[in-house]
Amino acid sequence: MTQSLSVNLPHQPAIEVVGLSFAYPDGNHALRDVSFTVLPGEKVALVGPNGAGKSTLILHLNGILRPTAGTVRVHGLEVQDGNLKRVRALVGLVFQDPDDQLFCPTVFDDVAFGPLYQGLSEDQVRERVAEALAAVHMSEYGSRISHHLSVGEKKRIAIATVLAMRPEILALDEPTADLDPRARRGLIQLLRELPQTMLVATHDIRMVAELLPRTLIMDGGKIVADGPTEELLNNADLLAAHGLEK
Amino acid sequence: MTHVSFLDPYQPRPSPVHHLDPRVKLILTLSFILATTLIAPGAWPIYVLLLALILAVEIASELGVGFVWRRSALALPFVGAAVPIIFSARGTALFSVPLGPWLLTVTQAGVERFISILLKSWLSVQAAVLLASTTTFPDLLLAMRGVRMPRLLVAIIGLMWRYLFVLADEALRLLRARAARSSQLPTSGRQGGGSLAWRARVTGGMAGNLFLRSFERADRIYGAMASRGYDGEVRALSMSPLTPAAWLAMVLGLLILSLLVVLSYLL
Repeated sequence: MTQSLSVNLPHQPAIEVVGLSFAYPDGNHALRDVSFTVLPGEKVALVGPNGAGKSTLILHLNGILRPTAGTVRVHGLEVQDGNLKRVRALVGLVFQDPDDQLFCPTVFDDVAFGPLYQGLSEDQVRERVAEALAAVHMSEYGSRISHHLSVGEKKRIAIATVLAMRPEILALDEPTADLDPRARRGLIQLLRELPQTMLVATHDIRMVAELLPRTLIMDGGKIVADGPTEELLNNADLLAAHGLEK
Repeated sequence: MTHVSFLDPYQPRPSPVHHLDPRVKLILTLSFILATTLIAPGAWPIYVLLLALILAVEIASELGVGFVWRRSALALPFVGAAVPIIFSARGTALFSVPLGPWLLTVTQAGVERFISILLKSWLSVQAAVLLASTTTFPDLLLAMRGVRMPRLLVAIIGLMWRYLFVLADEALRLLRARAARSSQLPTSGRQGGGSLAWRARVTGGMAGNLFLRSFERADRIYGAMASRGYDGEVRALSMSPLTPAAWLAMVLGLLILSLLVVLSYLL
């Protein structure tokens, strides 16, 4: 998986969000003037109460949602119409509900989907599928039917579906939600093994403390704190003000 | 987790029918149904031969004849639609039944045709049950693509099958939540569950809820597809060519079926 980091441009931030605002068509202002930068290889947590705008922010990273104002850049590429395909190859988005992510009849088809649309040859596609399934320790699962997997297995396969595209950045929405302790432990272990730049939206503060050295706290569509995880998690007043618990 | 799996008709067995290439199975099943439809009414020996043919496959599939017959019986009530033909076909009158102001005449040709339709439906449904029980759905989708069904249509069928289960699970959870709150107090003296109109409203609300959930999910699925590069065109890996054995099975099957159709008109 190390070769996936080879196209890094040395002085470009992996993610650069400037003055990002977004309102849903119903008028709900989900993001208000959000700005932050993530450097290549950084592991960043995105925490905050429900409705803070975490998922909305993540959906901006590869242009599923478009800013009402402001810009999003990924490795120097602005997220806009002409760049979408390249941006989507750089950013692997893992949705919260794996049933949304796994829309193909079999696990193999799902993992092959991304590489197939990247225009790779059939041999390369098969190679990518084998590589991605091995990376999430699910090599035996190719012919399985997604519906019959456990939630933990589905989450791993969901991660494999984006790893197969060899992204530079992984953006994960609630990766440990709905998992039992053993599956959660396995998933944290897996995330620790992955070399990509990571932005993880989560309520799982214990995972944040363990895995992600930097934390962004969001509330009401704004970033209210940005700093080393240890420092923020020791600030009891800050956590209490935004409904978080260590 | 609540889980629905009874919708999946596939029955895993280590039989040669299960191992046959799904493209061959799909073509032969459709041809069997076509041949059964084309066979002349009243050519009884041919019906026996067709039954023997499908029985042989049923036994080879290790599913058991009883299993396939039980499943195929489900479709028989639909044959009721063919009942009027007993009275409407022209031919030698057998007997008449007075029904109010009408006199219904049963003809020999009518009875012959009705029994033919009954047998044809039963044979066709058996073939369909065999196909669905011996082929996994992903394989069936591959087969549909293999026989050049439009890719978009195959993709839609695939999505439908994938989310039918998810939707069924969601419906099951809603029903369970309703059941959990449908209590009755021993002291109220009234029957629990409310009036028919009230229950209809609850059911309508649940259907609406399910629709909204599906609608939102469709949006999220499209987001997931677009994230991985979906551009409106359906792509898939190519399939391996048919093996000589699969070709042989297909050609042989098609020959037998054509022969039976021709014979039914010569008899």
